[in-house]
Amino acid sequence: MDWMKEIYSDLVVRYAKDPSARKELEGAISARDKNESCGDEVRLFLKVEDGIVKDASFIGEGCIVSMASASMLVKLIKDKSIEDVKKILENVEKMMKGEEYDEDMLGDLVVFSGISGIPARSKCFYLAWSVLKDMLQSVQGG
Amino acid sequence: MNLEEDFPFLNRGIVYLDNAATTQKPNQVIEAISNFYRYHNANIHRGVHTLSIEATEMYEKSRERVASFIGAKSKELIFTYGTTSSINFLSQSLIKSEVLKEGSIVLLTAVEHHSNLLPWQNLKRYGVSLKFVDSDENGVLDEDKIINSMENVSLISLTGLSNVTGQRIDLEKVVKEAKKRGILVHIDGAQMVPHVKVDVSKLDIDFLSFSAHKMLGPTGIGALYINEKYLDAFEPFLVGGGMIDRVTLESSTFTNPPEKFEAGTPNIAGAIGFAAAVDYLNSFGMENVEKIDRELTKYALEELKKLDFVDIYGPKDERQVSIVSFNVKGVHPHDVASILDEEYKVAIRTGHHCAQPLMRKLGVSATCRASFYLYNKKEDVDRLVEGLKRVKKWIG
Repeated sequence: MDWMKEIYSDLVVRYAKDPSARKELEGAISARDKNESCGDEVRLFLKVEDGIVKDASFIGEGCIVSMASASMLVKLIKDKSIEDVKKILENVEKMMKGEEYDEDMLGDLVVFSGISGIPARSKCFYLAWSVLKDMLQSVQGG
Repeated sequence: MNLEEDFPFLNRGIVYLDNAATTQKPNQVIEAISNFYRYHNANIHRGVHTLSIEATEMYEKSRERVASFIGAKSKELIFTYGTTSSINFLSQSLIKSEVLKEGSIVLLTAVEHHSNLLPWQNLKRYGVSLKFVDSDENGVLDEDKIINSMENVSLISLTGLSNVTGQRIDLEKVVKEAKKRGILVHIDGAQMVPHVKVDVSKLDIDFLSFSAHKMLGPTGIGALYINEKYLDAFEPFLVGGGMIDRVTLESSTFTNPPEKFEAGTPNIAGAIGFAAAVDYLNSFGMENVEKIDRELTKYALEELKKLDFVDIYGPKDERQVSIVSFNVKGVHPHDVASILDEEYKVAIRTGHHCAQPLMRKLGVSATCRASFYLYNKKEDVDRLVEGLKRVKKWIG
């Protein structure tokens, strides 16, 4: 199956091992989620000012898929407005469900376009995004 | 006996190293089950027609064969749905029968499968307390430590062979000391019974739980051995049809063991499949099963030790039977398993293996686990090792 080649492509491995997005952000809001069945864990940090994500980062532990996805998330949402971040999230969810989505919004993340066909790994893929979703709700609520 | 013929999956080219989760089923087991459904299907007991008499006889003969496989008498062998239900039934029955009560202490170890932990945690509400024997940082249990923790204990519930580290516990030593102190012993045999010859009449344990599906049999059936001296005193786990003597609207009396413990229509075909599985193991010879499992484990340990990028857990010596847990340094177990599966058709299990307390002790959230059975070969280990080298190169 080709999805394996894509999932474990150099691009994905590079993102998963890239240290630049992996740090704690002082003065940022943060939230975490854990996939209990495999132990994957992501804590996301967001600095939102005037409706713009000024900075973002994550710390965590997990498989290539969950780490690369979190790393790409950080890159994708930086300097975007909350409204745009919400649109990105919507498209990520569409991609995960196998529905039509806007490729232009997702950048390198489209490497996971086949994730809808791999239910065993879609949880890994979505881990960081589920944290983001929760955080967006609290940002909105606040 | 021809393994390639008996296990058609072998022709798919898949190296199956997930036997601790469940084993493959030989044609003989599949045939026994379908033969029952095709020609002899009927409910058991109280039937006067031919099919029911045949089904009853097949079910009871199955009980005899599974019981004799572990050196038990027929009536001491109660069919359950598997090890988990065996341990749940046993723990609840010990409370109902007041063998365990407020103030009783149950001794467990920190390496137990969740199914030999949660049923005992459930007894805390009755005032039963739990005491744990810790392992070392590699997950290895020390029998002397178990013996030194026996003071004031009413019951010990212990794995015979760890589902994570593969450590075979020296039960003779532990049971002897427990008996001296009048302590009841339950053994979680889910991993032990499939791989080493067990004779309860010699081992002198009180209770033993095991599952058919980890020893070539079907899922959905297992067994609980209860030493005959407790059979009459023990309360049934479930009540209802098939286990009664006389019923009025207000009260009932129960029939004799083992039927007393098997309310409802049992898994008849499952029992027949279970017996076919033990027949297969008997003809193969349990000494040969153990020999193969030990050789493969030894070989796997030798080969994995050569890989400096692999961490191995457990005793890493001859105490280890059929199971090897490990991690590739810096690579998540899921990634290891995905690549092994996709590129090498090697099936291993990853995760916490239903032993989260042990994972915390090992300082990991998950491990890779390769587990062997009688149809595995040295070449399977070679392919695993080759695959791990590729994993290291690719994403390590």
